Amino acid sequence: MAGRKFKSLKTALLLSLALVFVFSIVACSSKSGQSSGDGQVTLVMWSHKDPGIDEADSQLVADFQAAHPDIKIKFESYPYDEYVQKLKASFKTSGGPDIAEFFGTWVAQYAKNDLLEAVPNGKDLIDKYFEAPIGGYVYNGNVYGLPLEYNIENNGMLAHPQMFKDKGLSYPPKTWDELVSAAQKLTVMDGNNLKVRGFDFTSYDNVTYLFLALILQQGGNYWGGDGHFNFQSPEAEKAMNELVKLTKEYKVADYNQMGAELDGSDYFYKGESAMTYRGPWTIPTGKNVYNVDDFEYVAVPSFTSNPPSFAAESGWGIVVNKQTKHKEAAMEFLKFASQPDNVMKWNITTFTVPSLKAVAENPKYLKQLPMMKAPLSQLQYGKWIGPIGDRDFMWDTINNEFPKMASGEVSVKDGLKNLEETLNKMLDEQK
Amino acid sequence: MGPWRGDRLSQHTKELRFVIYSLTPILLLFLVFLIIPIFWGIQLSFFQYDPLASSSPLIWFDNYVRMWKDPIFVKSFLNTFKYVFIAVPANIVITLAFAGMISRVRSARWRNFFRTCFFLPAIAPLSASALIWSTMLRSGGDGLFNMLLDKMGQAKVGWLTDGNTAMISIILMTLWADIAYNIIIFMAGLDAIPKLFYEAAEIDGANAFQRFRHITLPLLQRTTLFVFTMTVISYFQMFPQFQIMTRGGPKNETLVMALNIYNNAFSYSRMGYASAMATVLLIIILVISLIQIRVGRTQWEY
Amino acid sequence: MNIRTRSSQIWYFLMFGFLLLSSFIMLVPYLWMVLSSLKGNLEIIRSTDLLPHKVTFEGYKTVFQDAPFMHWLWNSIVTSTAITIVTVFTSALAGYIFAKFRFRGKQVLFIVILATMMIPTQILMIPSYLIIFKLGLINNLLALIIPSLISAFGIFLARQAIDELPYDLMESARMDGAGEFYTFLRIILPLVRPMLSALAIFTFMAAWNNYVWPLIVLNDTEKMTLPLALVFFNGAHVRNFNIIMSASVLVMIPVLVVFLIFQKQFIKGLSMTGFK
Repeated sequence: MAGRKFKSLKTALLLSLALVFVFSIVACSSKSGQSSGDGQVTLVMWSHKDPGIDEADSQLVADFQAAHPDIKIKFESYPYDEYVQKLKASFKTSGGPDIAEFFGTWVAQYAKNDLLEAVPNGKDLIDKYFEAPIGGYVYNGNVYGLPLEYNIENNGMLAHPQMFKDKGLSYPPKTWDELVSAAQKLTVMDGNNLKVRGFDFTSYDNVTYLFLALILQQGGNYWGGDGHFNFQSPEAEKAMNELVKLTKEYKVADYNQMGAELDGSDYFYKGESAMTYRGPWTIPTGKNVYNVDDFEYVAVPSFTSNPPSFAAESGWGIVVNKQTKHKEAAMEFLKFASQPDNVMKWNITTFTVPSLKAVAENPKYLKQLPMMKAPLSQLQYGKWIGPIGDRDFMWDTINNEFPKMASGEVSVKDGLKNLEETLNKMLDEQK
Repeated sequence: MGPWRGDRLSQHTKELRFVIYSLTPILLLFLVFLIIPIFWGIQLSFFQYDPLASSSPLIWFDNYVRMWKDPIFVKSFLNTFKYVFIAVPANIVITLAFAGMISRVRSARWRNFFRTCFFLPAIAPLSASALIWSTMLRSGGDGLFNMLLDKMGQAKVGWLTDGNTAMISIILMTLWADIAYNIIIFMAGLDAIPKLFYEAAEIDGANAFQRFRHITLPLLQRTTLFVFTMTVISYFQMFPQFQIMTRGGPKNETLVMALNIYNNAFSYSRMGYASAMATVLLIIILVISLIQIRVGRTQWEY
Repeated sequence: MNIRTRSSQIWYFLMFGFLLLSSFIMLVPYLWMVLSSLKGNLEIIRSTDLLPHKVTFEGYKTVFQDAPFMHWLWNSIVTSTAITIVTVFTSALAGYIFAKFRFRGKQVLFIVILATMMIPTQILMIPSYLIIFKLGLINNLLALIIPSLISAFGIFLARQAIDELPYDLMESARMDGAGEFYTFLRIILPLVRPMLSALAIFTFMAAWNNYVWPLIVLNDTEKMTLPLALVFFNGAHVRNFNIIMSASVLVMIPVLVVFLIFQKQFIKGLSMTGFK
């Protein structure tokens, strides 16, 4: 009997020993590589995963370390969806990074809750940037980070000149009417399906941007008096009517294609679209993934005789975590990432539009990226979109309501009223 | 006080000690990693909670009242029920049918072969399966389904981009990815039914349908109820395929509660509101499970 | 009689044919996956042909070269194995207690444990993160292991199987003077081994396939686990389909191996979980 008891005890002991062994392996392997002696500071930097941005960030970090041998940066990037969750979970604790790459529109929410470090001489820097990209980084007069790029989805489009030539159309379209009539002629139907879209603007980002731009180009405004949206103005109605007409009457784009299937630019590079309203960041995909060279990036004419104004929001940039233990070092990096030479390198690698005026004006930039000619010519017309509260909610709401209006399920008037109510409620909640 | 009584007592103490020593660490893990987070989550549903904010106002039942006026929530609520009501019965009918057929296969080797084939889809991560299916269901000519339609001279279908087919497409994918477990559980249930019953019924002249109706179904009731509950619990919370294949579109036709909860919690920073929705979902699943247990108990007694 | 046998013979062949066809259909998505993994990204998006025009192993090469693949594989093996061993043990132990012991509050405890399966995990993310942070486990592989050492489903499954065993077994062990733990380890566990191997496969698969939680609680890329390869190469807008497909193939191979090894036990285990 004693033997038996002993045996079961032994088994239990062996089992727990085995577990302790596994756990200690795990714990030890997790602890290695943490220490850094001889007064060196190690900063942790996080970003979202994107091949181009990864490469540019790594370059930026390497250049910074070469210039600052006493500071080491541990750079990590995560897939977008999980990155968003990770930031929200970790910024409340001291487990977050020292430096993070933020999309400008997120900044207000973090700044409001005192989670970001203000840039010391931030106010002096504002003028060096275009209004649209820096706008998102300013909260209550303070600057909480600096944009690396100008996120522009407006006023530029991918176009296939050969398709215009084949149909004997003048290229590129000079006025909005020319664009619309060309789009109709370029559209090819295959039964009920669109085989070639004439003017494709129905991607996740672009319906909203085009809608806002068309309002501004009529001299209207989507902001009402008291910090609320106003989508019931005659200008807003006309703008939305135009978008609905493009899909419903002219059928030059497909309002069902806003899901997660493929990006609008993918259809373009597959030759299934003649003109696609999309940001210039999609150009490298065409060149590198699709290996096509038969397209151009051109300016989109104004909806009216007014200048082609548009609303833009921020872009990816760098912020410093309030909880960082190495504030000086982190700010040093931020400063480094706002030097025109460094930012230009970043912009060229990522194929993004400069947020710094100095970079946009530097001929070296355009020489490196000749396709950026059209976007550069449009930067002056960009305005900051304004304090839109929750960006994802706004886009989701508009993308959800637009197909209902386009299919006639809801009238444009009612649809806009719904949009205005839903979005203003969100704004109230965010205050 | 005979000595046996002392023995008895010590046996009871020994048992109790064993229960306490073994269960405490397990329950502690449950407490720390599941029960506390769940109650934390439920408690958040009474606040206008944003994970980033330093203070959150207590708003009592506002989140619960508000959701019924929120057309997106109502839509997601209805979509979830639509999904569960189509996918769960379909799953059960299909798995029962396949289980019945496979267990009739005479050669053990072939039986194993079929079982393995039907089980394989279950070993891929759901998110990988969803990605594979979303490329198969593409609306252009590059998706497998449309390639086949094209070969048959039919027009292409926007499987995931058309509001009429998106939900059905996702249900198809779910069934593919998920029928394995139930087939195997049903096969186990069928194996346990004595062959004698069928032979007797056959001698009495019962046809295949009658045998199924009067022998298989009643004797498989407990298995069916178990499978039914587990499937309902998991389908109400189904998430990756909706996020990956359609993101809830087109026109929110495939927006289910779990996806809406995710959107509100992480994309829109309305953690409190998301928690309220999750609590509603918990209550729905709990009620359905309790009904099942009640039904199961009466079956058991009978 | 003769006619009847013949017709049932025809039915049997029809059924067999149908099963063959269905099995093939079940395998089609995998076939598609493997074929796609051998195509270039461009061909996947562009081509309307099933077979690759030009077989390329670029996707596999990228996964091996640009991701710390071996690190991830090792981490996955260590965490999934640790989780599987402990979870099977805790599930069996708790299942045994819930099946064979009487104590106050048992029923309530059991329902509470079951109810933990019914809440969507998304809202548990932030509370769980904060708890892991308080425990000092952020960026530590233990953050993947410790919360997964228990399973409500496992306890349920174990209870079902152990419930079927007669009480006499325990009684006679006690008569012999065996300790309670000895009885559990030496008498109960061997009898439910098929169920345990089924649970082992379920647990291993769940632990192996989870990638969202590792991404949230771990910070260093080298510490993460294999399924991360599925999303590691996606940009915010760009999806590299051939890499995703190659990664899917590579992620699934270890689970396939585990399944084929345990398959016999596993299917026997499911048959023994006490469903009648």
